[in-house]
Amino acid sequence: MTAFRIIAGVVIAALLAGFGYDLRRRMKSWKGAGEFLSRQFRDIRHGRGNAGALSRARRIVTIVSVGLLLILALTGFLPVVFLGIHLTGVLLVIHVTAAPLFAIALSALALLWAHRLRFDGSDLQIALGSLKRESQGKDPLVRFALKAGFWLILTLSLPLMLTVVLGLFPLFGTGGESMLIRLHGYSALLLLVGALCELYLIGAYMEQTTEQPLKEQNP
Amino acid sequence: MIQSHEIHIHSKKNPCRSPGRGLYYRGGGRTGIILLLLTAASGAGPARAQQNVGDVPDGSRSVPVHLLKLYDESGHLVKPDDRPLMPFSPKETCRKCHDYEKIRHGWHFNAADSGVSAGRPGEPWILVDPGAATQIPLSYRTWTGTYRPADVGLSTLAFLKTFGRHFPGGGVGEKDGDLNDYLRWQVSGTLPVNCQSCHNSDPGQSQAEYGLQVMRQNFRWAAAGSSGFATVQGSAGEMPDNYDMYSAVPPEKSDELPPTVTYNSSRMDVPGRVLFSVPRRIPPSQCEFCHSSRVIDPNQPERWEGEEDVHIAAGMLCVDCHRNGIDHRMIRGYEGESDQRGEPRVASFTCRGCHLGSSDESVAREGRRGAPRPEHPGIPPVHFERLACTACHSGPWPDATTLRVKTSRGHALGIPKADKGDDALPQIVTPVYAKQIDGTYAPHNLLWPAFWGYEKKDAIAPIGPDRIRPMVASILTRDTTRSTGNRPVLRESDILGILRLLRGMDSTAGDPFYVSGGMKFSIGPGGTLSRLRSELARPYGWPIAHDVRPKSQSLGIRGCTDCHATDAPFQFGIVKVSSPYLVSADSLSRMTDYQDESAVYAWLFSMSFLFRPALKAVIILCLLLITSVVLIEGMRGLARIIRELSAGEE
Repeated sequence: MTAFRIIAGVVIAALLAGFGYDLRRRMKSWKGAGEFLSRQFRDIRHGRGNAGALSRARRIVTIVSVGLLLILALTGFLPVVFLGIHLTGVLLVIHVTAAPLFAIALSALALLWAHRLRFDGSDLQIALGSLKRESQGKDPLVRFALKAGFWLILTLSLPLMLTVVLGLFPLFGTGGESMLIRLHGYSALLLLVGALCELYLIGAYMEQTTEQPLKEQNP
Repeated sequence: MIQSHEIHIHSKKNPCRSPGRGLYYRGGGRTGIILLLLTAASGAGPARAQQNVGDVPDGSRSVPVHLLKLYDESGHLVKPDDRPLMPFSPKETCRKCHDYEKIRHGWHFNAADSGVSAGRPGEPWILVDPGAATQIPLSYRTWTGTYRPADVGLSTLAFLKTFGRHFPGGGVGEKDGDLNDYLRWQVSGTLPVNCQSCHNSDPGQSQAEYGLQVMRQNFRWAAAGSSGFATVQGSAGEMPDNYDMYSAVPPEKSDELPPTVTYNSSRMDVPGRVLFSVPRRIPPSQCEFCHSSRVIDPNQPERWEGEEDVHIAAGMLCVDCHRNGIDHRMIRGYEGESDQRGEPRVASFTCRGCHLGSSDESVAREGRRGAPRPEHPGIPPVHFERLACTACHSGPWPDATTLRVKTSRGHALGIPKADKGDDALPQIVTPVYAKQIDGTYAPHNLLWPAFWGYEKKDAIAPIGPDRIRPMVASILTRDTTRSTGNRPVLRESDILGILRLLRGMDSTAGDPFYVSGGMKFSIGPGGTLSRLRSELARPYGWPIAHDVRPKSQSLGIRGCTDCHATDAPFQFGIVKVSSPYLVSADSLSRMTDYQDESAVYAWLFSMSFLFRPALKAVIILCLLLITSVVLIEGMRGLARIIRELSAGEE
């Protein structure tokens, strides 16, 4: 557990520091960064433009998923990373209550966003271009990163859920159960990193008045 | 082939040692003194620092035959034609080959030794007096919640007379320095370690007889009387303080028989040696005289319906785990003992050490005696941090309500005329899943202290039952409508009356009080009986480790809901408060009262297990759905990549 505590602590701290540094660099001051972020998230919360029912559903599901993810991250990482104890007590009850709801929300998220965020030919070009170190436009890159983040989150949710559900059946002994918990922790850490990056991209890089990067595109 | 540990072999190294008690003289004594002087002059003194011959193993696994000459308490050879015929002393007989000084500081004898760690709380001695509605846990060890015998007015002599029935001698039995009882000690003799209590597997060896002799104050004779080859008659307790066992003067009263010993001559060979049956591996029956318990389970009223410890059933012995060296520092076998003792090797004799091993050890030591390694499939690892192994595997299977238990030492089991009633005092309940000092939960036996005392500022002074008994008796005598049954059952008015009497007897001693059933009773401001919960009345609990149940009868074998259900005894069992006096007959508490978790949280957590199947189903469905989405989109993406890659060619 010590290694996980160190890794998780360092990764989360480095990520938050990176976000802070990037915002500060772009907005020139902490005050400006704060105002920018609050404006962005207010826009996201209230929706952008005249959204249809499906868009509203997408927005609501996304917000609920993010909320549940934060609850799960707090209840999961707080005792383990900061207190060095197993997840237990009231935090465990909250965690296991939020977990199935998050699984449902994530499934809905997958159904609602999968088609819109599928990779296409332009994404391949961006990916290949990035590999060749060719200069890309900002918007295509952000769009590509958002898509990649979305699919990364979905992919990481698989070991996350699998390690939990396997642990609930009498299949593994003490060593196996410990391994499942470790895998669950690392999966959760990676998923959290992906989700935070995704959120940061949405909050800090998406244009305020348009849903352009995520807009429906003709196949 | 007989191996005899004969005294003449070792006498040069270990000359007869006379404790010099001053009263004893015989020809043998003079010889002993001369031998002692000669030995000292020959420079054999330093040899005493060497290990005794019986303490140095030569590697042979055969059991030495103990065909021994007998020595009395002064170290003199016992001869059948001696007059007076002296009882042999195991201490003097065994110390010819074994280091008694080391042995006497072993766990069974060192309770009163200063500087000895008390270790995990264990079963106390329980002073019981139904006539005074008293049951109070006593110990010479510093276990929180117990009282020292002197606190309730028990002198060492009185302590031995009361509890010597299940006492292997040694320790306080050899501390005869109590001036108040000096003359009695001269009559009774001391009570040194009775090696035979554990090491004599002769069918005639009777710890019950030992107990009877101790109760008769025949301390000096008790070991001989219990040995199976000697008969002890008479009672030192009936002899006057000035009784001299060496004089030929008979007691003043003709019906009082002085203590005498007679040896069974058929058990002695020509040189006067006796064959002791001393097994290397002590059978459980030797331990069980003092370490038995009987759970009063209405579902299993008969002995044949019960089970024994799974280890014993598998052919193991108590001493396979509870081992010791010549220093007799028994391994008690609880977690953390090795740290307290500063002996890491001891950890391998705990449940965990034997069955799971430890990664800290350079040599793998798990699997002793073929101990299987448990898999514990599906049990989250947090269980192994928060629960002792015994929580799931030991003690009686928990029921909705706790049960009463009788223990050897608490209820004088095995002693003739002991109260065989199910409701005999002391009242102990089991199993209570309480938190122990290492922070893990384990099944406990619980005893609610009941005693009278005075409280002055922060100090309390318990009152011995001898002072209370006449008061209770006088109240009951005056009230002809009362039937006392097996024992007097007090009423609130009786308690108030006795408290007033106590205050009247000594107004400077402090405020009289009585604790029982978790409550403290005292005289309130208006002269009425006041009752409140008090630290003083908190139950004393000690963890139990036996009997260990087999895997198929362990908690959790039927699933999580063995413990995690809103009616599971582990957290929601009813602990039935038992004590000589209760405010209401059905005084109850909850198991969570003895745990860290609040009852609300425990209930909430257990409730969540109702939804556990739904949780599994939801997660599996979501898992399948997301997997499908990822696969479908992944395949499409892959197809697009393939198309894009081939686009140039087309």
